[in-house]
Amino acid sequence: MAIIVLFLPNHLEDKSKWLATAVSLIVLSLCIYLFTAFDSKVVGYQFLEEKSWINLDLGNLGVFNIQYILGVDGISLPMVLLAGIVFMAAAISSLSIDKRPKAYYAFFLLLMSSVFGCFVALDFFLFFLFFEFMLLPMYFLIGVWGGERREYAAMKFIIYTLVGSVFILIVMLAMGLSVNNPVLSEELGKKAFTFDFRLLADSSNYISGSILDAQNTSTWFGWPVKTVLFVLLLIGFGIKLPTVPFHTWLPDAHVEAPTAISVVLAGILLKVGGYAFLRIGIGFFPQEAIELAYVIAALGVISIIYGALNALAQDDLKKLIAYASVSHMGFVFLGLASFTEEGINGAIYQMFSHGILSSMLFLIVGVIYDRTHNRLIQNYRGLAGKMPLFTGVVIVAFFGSLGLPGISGFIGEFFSLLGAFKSPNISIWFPSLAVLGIILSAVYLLWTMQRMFFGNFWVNREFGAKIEDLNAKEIVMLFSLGTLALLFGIWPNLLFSITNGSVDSFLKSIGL
Amino acid sequence: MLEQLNHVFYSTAAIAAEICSVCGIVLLVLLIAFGKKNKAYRAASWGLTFLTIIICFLFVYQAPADSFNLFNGLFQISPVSNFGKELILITTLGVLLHIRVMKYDLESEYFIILLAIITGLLFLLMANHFVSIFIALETVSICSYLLVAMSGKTPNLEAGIKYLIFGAASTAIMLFGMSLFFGATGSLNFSSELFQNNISQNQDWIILTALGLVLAGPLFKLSAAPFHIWAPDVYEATPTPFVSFLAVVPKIAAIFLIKRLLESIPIDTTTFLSIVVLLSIFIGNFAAISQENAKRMMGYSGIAQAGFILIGLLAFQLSGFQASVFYLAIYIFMSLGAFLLLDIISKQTNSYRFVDMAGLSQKFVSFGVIGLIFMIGLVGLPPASGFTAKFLVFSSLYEQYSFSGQKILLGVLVFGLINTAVSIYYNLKIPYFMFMKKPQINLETQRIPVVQLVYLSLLAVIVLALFFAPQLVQERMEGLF
Repeated sequence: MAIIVLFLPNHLEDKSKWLATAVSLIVLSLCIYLFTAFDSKVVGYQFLEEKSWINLDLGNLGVFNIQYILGVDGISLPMVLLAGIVFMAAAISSLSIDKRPKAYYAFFLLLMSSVFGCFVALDFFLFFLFFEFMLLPMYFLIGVWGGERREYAAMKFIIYTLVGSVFILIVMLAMGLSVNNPVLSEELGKKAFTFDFRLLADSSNYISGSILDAQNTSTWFGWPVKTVLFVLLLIGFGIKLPTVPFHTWLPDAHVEAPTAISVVLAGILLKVGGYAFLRIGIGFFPQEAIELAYVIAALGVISIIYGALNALAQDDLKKLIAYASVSHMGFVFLGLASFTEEGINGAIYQMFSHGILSSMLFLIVGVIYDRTHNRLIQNYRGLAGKMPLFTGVVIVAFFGSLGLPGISGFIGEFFSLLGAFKSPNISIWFPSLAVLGIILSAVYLLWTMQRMFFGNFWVNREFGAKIEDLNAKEIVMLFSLGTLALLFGIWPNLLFSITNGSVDSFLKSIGL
Repeated sequence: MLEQLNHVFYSTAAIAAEICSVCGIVLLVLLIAFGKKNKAYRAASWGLTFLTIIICFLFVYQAPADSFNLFNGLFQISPVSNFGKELILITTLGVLLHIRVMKYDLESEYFIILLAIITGLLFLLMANHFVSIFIALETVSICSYLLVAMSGKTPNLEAGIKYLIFGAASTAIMLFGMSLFFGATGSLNFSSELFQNNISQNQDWIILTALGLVLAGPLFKLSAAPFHIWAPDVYEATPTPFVSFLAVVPKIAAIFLIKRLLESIPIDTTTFLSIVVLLSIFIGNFAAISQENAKRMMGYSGIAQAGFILIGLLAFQLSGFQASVFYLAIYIFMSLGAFLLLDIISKQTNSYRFVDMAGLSQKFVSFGVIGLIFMIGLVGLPPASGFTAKFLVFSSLYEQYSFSGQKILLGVLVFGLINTAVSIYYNLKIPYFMFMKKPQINLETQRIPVVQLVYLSLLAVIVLALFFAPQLVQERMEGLF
């Protein structure tokens, strides 16, 4: 796994685009290898790689023991695979970038290594480093290669997410300073603060009297400390996910980003928020999470409905899809809030499926934008006649997104809802309202479809000649993603067999 | 009698580094008096200064690792003060290299002033007595005013006068505080028995007032609010290498001095220091946002950085001072690098305004990337060591909070972290203009000399390396505190 992280972009020759594609291909095949080699019966992390990294001496207080630990379990593995797929698609899609390709691919690969790092890091500090490290490449990728208002969008993106990371940093400090590494501590004869996920999960390592200690009843601003920490995590990762009301950076970032970067952003960056919230937020603060389950579910449901209503009102295709992303990511929070096996499995499935489907959707927007440089829905009508292949792909992606059985989106949404209905922790009203979101998503997607693809062919006069069907590159990308969407829609066990065991033990570890 | 004489001899031997730098000054004066005013002599005075600093450094480096009093308690030499001296001398070497690399052809007098400031600072680090603090601090201050105003141009004079007026005012405040201490305890030697015995017999508010007033001196040097007003003007007017000098070196001495004062005077200053920290960070950050001149921006950013460094002193009883010193050590290289970056940019564009930097790194890609490292370091993002530094001060603050449970510390923590996020806006302005804006001037014919790039990359490598291997500094600091 270390290889994946160690891809550093110091190749600065003209062939960088092929190099980046090749790297993505190698990474994807490594991911697939991991996926097949993963033994779903084993509890805990696999493919571990451990090195002691930084030991910051704090004098009498103890040392900060920061380790370089990588590994995957059934929760992170689907995300790793998804990242492999999404980056492959993005690499192919960005073959058409010709403005300063060296710098572009340098940032692209940097982004790739930090995203993978986020999913495989098993040390909170290391995770945080990778999490922060995603910001800068993304900032430049949007800010340099984006659309007209790119600078505004890039700045908004970085400030929003940085505020989120600051919240996470507070939690990290509080947790790191509360947990002792028993082995190292004995060796050094003083406290060894650790960030190791495995040690953080074990309450016998908590230093007595510290924040995490169950006996600690101190309060911050009138709230129990642990609740405050959990809320900080909720906001921090909620910004990344994004959930309403922290979502406003997303439409801007999406609209301004180049196609490939939109794909990465929607396909995988948003999942970091969901994954990390599950692993860290729920994993280390289970009681608080269950107490506040209704808040998480409410955020999810509001995102679903509000995102869908917003999508309904857009006339820019890309903005529509961006809001649809907000709406679909709401199901992740709803599923997580249920604290049932179905719900959490469903949330992971929803993330995976949304990664594939939203990548497709953004590539679809890219197809139209490449041809005409215009994304307004009202400028197109009856494209089906001129672009039959394209329409076929669009149908898969749109129907997948609105949750048609047989395509992967259905499974994710269905299981999230199933878990939520079954859950004792949240009121039945939440999933009931969320179902409304599915109807709304059918409305905006089908309406868009009808406006753009059906009826007599008509486009705004300027673009008439430029409308052509898919070329080979686009066929490869869209068809393979479409196939995956169908595959995971028909054969959900492919993923559930991996996630189920880990989710099971995860729920046991938090006492459910 | 003989014993006393021996003590004086012994003390004199212990301050070899300071004597060496004074000798450097004398030699420079002779060089100016008897030499010609041409380029070769000016280069020679640079060389002489460089040599002096290196010799000073060697003296400090070899100094024995235990602490003792000099000159009947006027000064105290200790491993901690030696470490501070090392930091100061290393920074000075960096600044001198900056001068050479950027081919500044400076009057020899500048170097005299530089050495005089160094001498003052070295004494300040050892000061153990209010009088020696005052004298050392004034040596530094007066020379700094000169350094700023020396070229005689209008903006320099303006900045110099501003610096002088605020400096004089804060010195006066400091002296008033010292006189209160003298009245309260009957001694000016703050580590003496008399002082320590008498101080606890006074009411807290007297001691707190006196200490607050005394701190005006070092806080002014640190450019912490509310003694920060001089900073942006001085930064804007002074030649860049000297800004780079004034931005770091007095900060180092000030932090060490504040720590000495805080540990000698047993009073809880948390609230007072917290307010200073909050004000500094707030004013520095929010004023920096709206700047259009990069040097002024760095001035305000320096005020905010002073606030961040001071955070460590809120927890000086625990590991906070270590964290602050670590921060300082990192800050040296980030600040040297950032000012070198600005200097190289201004050589290319003849301006320090952001708009004129537009598009520079489209021509010089690697230059832009190296520059980015310093700016993200100043924000405190990984993988620059600025992150480790911020991480350490904040974790020591957190530790202090969970130790003492004072709510205001938590406020400082949250506020400081949020401001870290705010600071990304202005710190990224330089890379932002360099990467994302279209160049306004024709850059085709311009080149950046290799030696400048090499020095800049060297600093960048240090900033990165200390992130991956903080033990390089930590091991040096170990056992000191």
